[in-house]
Amino acid sequence: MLLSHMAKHDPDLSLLFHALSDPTRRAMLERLACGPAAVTELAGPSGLKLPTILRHLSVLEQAGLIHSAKDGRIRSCRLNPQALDPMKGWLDTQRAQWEARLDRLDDYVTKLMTARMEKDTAP
Amino acid sequence: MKDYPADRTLLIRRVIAAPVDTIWGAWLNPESLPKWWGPDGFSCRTKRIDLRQGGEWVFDMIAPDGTVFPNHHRYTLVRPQTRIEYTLLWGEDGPKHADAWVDFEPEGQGTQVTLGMVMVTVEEYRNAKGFGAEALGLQTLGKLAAIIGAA
Repeated sequence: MLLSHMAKHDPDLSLLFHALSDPTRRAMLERLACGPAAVTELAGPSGLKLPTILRHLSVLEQAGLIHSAKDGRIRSCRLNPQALDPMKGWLDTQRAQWEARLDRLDDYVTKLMTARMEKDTAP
Repeated sequence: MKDYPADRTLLIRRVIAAPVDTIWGAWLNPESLPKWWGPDGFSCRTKRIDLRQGGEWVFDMIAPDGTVFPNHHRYTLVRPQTRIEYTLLWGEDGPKHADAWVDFEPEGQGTQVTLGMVMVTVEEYRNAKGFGAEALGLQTLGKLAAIIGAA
């Protein structure tokens, strides 16, 4: 059943939507799409203070969108593009539901037209 | 990559072997719309239905197991036999969760029906009138996904 499939993805989707809802976090993802980067490098263009940057990165990491690792004193981050898959799954579910809905509309109007034709050709 | 629109957009195109006026008649008709809206095994319990520009459809989708999914569609544009635009709200007067549109175009003896839908982001919920950030907790969004599934 489609709905149970959706329910399975709910926590992931919530975290993803939340993570993607912020322009600063989207800018960070955009930067990381070009390759891994150190936290200080991510902070650079934003003009934000380090604690704020770390909070945003933590949201991205919780959503699975990035991985981070510490090497000595430097923490670096990289993108995990597979994290967007649940969102794709959600849209696929929507697509399946609309396909089914259009099937039913098709059936409905076909019956309607058949009924009209029978009426028209009735003696 | 700025706003991930491709990840939030759905586009479906279908040619149905019936003239536009017949399909429009099945869609913009309070008697017939709930009959095919589905999903299969679900029933629609309509509270209010007014299928015209500025009108709305407030209804519950009832799953086979009795679970109720409240829905509210607001019709922002109704151009006869051409286009419908509507906003999907999470329950009656709830936060908006998507914008949808349907285009009808004659194609041969039939009609090409194109459905488009764009899911809103949390950011847009925050801007939605009457809903503060506190109403937008993760639990709410979790439920939302289920609601959209039945929308």
